[in-house]
Amino acid sequence: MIGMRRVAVVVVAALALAACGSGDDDTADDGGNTAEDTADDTASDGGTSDADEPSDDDGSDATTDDGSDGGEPAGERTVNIQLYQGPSSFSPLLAATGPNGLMQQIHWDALVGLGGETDYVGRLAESWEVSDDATTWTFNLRYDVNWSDGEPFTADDVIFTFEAMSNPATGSGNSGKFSNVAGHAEFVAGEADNISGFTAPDEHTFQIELLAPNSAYMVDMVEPLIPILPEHVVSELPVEGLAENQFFREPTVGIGPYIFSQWLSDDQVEFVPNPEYRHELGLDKVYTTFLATDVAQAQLATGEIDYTQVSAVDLDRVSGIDGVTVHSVDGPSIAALHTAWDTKTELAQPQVRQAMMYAIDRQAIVDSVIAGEGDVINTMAFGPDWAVPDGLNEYPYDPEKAKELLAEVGWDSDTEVTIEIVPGQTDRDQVVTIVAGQLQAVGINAVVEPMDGTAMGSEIGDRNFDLLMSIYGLFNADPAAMSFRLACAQGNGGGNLSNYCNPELDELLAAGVATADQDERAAIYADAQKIVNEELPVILLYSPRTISATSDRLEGYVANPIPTQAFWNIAEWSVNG
Amino acid sequence: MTVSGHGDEHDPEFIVSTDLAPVDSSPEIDTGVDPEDEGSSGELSPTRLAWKRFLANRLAVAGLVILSALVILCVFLPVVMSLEPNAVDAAQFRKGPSDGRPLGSDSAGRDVFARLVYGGRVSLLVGLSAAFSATVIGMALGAAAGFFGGFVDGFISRVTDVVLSFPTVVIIIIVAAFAGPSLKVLILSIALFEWPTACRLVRGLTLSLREQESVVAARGLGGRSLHILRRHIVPATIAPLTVVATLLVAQAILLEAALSFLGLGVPPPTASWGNMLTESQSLTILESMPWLWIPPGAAIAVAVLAVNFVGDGLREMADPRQQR
Amino acid sequence: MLAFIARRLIISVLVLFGISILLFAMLRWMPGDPTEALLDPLSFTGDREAALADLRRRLGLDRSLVVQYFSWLREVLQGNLGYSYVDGRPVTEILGDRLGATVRLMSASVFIGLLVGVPLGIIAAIRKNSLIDYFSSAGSLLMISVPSFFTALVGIYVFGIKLGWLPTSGQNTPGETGLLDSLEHLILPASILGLSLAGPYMRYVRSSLLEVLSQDFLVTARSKGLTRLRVVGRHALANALIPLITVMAVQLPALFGGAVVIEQMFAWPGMGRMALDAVNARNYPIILGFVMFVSILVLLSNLAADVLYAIVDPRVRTGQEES
Repeated sequence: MIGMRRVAVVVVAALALAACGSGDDDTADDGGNTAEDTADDTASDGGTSDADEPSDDDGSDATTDDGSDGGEPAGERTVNIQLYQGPSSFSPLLAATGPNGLMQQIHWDALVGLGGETDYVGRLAESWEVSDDATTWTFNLRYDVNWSDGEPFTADDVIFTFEAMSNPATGSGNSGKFSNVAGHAEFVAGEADNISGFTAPDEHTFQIELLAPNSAYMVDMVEPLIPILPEHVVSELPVEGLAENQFFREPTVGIGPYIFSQWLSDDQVEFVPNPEYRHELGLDKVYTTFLATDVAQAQLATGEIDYTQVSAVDLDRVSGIDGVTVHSVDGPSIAALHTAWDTKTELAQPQVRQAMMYAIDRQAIVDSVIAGEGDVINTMAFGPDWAVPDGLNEYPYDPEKAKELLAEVGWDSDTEVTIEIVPGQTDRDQVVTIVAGQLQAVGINAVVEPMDGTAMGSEIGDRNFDLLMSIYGLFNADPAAMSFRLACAQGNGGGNLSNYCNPELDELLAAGVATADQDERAAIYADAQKIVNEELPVILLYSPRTISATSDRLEGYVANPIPTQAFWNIAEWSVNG
Repeated sequence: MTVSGHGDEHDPEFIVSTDLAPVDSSPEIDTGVDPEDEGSSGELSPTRLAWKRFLANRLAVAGLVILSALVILCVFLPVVMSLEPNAVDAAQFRKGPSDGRPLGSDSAGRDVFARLVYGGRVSLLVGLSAAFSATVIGMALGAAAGFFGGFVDGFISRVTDVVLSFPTVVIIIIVAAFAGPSLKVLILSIALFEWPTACRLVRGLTLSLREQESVVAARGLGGRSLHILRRHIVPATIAPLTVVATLLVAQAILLEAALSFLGLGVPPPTASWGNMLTESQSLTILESMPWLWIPPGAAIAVAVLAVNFVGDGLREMADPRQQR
Repeated sequence: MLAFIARRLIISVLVLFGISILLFAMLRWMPGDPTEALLDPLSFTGDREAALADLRRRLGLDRSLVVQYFSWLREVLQGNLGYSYVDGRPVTEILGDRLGATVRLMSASVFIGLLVGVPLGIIAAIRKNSLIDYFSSAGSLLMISVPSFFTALVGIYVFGIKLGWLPTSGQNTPGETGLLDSLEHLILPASILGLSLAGPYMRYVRSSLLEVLSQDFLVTARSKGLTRLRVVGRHALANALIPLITVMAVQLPALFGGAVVIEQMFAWPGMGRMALDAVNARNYPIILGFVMFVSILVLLSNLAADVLYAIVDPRVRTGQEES
């Protein structure tokens, strides 16, 4: 009751305030250009100054209790960025989720990552090389990196992290990540204390010894990012259940440009500059907030938010907002429909799959639902250019041809074909609806079946899905990325959820990573791509572009093709005005 | 819970219960009402008198008219004209109202008007069948509790307490999410968690009826329990139950809308008024495509309002003391 | 009186046990395995089946239902509601983090509901059958009938986008800690939830006041020459408003339900939104913790209402004996 009275007073005051017209909190100042190239030249002297924030220890209810007037001074160099889902932890050992990954790339850092042009960029590693036989990878680490507590960063930190990640006892969600590394199996089985394939020839050199050659190992290293942990701190924690250790809720040491300061609420985190960072930083505070993308777009308009993802259907509206810049770059992922090849044999017939490709007007879907922000694809690894051969079947929209193909195999139009989807993303939901309608038009009785992620996990485990809609992957950096989704060895619980298995393709995929010579690889992948294009292990729809929007006060932002690496260059961000 | 013992004296008004518009979820009708008494107040027959009272309530009549119109439209319009609620057309993506499509097209290029009509069928169906099931469950349990008393009553009353302490929306969300969204699950879960209202009412009525002469006499003559229940108690509860059921319809329509809106109700592509609104969380739609969100939203509001008006009228009809 | 409270308390504890058993059984009988949600099949690397089995063992999901229930119960009795499956945080801590936001939203809503509903109800009762009565009665039905998520959409559209007066999400601007900023964020969601409460409050107050006004002692008071207004103010109002406490208590679970939707729409970092996320992730400890928390709150507020009632009206205690 007492609490209620307080709120009561508060509300009256607020209503009075609203009546007086509070439309004057328009903070969006029209600061000219977008400044994609203002790198790190922003003068900043206060990068490490300890701005005295109200140190509210429990942090949970900070905003009500201090009845102080107003917020921070307008001049403060703060940036508010959107996370599209709720973050929970800074633990890189837990199975990667988008929002956690985004927070982690602010606080932690990885050896290498993906750059703005879908290129590999060094982060904690300065350079890297692969041996001629593609089995030894060497990473040369930066010399000028310290943890935020002043301890130097060394190759031992890397080895410690990779071993913790491989150790099932920690509860790691990525224990299979390094299964191709020498000594991984022995380590997991408890027969060895260390993974022999990880070595540190010196403090600033880190080496990986692979069992099978892999000239495209960088694909595995850059996505998802693998944050490195401070051995001197984390090794003090118990190994059992390390992934969920509460240290990762409020980590005290970091290595990224901005480090965790406090949880303002369960959805909101405050970051402050890392005093040990290797160059001056342009911001005094960074806030991440969990906001639905729609809501975040509204806040972008009012100047409450400086960065948000944008869904293609809202592109027009967001581009029309004053003081906002929209960034649209080619995306690395593919939208595809997966079939359980091992159990749904009637759907695995090539004619049926080709019929589906002809039946779906993919260009119209790209043009309408995602507003042209994407490209129709005809193979899985749709880039880089050297990896995509000429002469692939483009499957133009042709319902008649689809019907012919179906007639050839005597397709029964009563057979129900379900399209499984986890709803929640407008454009994806709509694509599925249209796909179902177009399949019905050629005599495939397609029915959309929405389910949540848990149910979909069970469907995959039970091998009980006809067409499972998913948008995923990094497929245009190197064609080797197909292996994770198509190789026989990745079936039965691995990345190949279709359980598609074609020995001929398998051989090509293995050969493709056994050599580092690009021409040789191009020839091998040309054959592989043709198989994928004809057999259609997955029904290929399109590759969506990655769209984000920033307020014009934010400078230095460079869009990353992968939404989960959106903050890859946050060290170069600054604000004007 | 609390009101069971004393609500009769202190809850003069039966309050509509909707979980979205969080409201009293244990409405109590004055259980002192004895339908037999009404006849003595005038020369008119009780039924005629009740109808007269109903018709005098203009809002109730308006509600009845609107509701009938909605039902007729939703049921018969597809028979008269050809409506294609599920025909997708990528070329018609979010097109505004035009000649052939008075309410434009949605994000899959489907006819919004057709979906509104078919969605009405689904929403009204959910409302009616969920409310009916909840009423039947409540009536059975309430009659059993009131009639047998003792352990049976204690047990049923405690179960009622348990269900009433649940945050219904959350529980239905749990059920819908776990069992997978479907029309059947939706109707069942609403029914399974909305019956206590009817149960409380029937229990109270039965308790008071049990002491009445006719029932006491029937028992004295060695009548079988089931027979007494059917012959004497069930008929007496029908009138007040109708009021409860009507208001449950309103609540079920609202619940359907909210759950579908959250993506846990009627699964697409089947249209319902609730799931037609799911998309409208997008600001683009909210701002520049009113044809996608105003019609279904208004339809829900009008339908529920009409049902509530009718419910109000019915209550006054059943309980003359509530006359305005 | 004490015996009455003790009896109600014992019944409440029994009801709580019932709720926990029912909920526990319901959660486990339903399809959907929380470990499936934890290891996303699209991104997991390694032997997923083995990892799933290991996870089930670590979360204790491989034990029998009865064993799980009693080990959960033992922890709960020691004040530990378990740990989140997703990140291992204690459930009590998560609930604590979320409680503030939800309490803020709900208490503001109840306040707004009372602010609108009670005066309207009083006026409608005093001016019975007048135009005001007519309009406020219809208005209250309208408030009950329009789904709050639709009101919220309209509110966001009008006040957030068109007029730009109010922020539409969160409980404060990131980085702002000022009171004013928090208030601005509170107005829209609290008003929308509050208006949906105002309808029933109004109807309740109106009819309750009407009944009190027709009672004997008031008729006497009036015949003694007291003015209508004084009668209402002095005698009737107190008698009519006390039962409102019951209505507020009874509405509590529904209020939590309404908060789920409103919190979702306004990105309010409260318990409702947490519950929705937990359901999607099959995060049993959080679902259990949340529902138990709400149930305890509901039972306590009902008990409080009962006690208040019993103090005000001794008939209740005897009335209880019958049921």
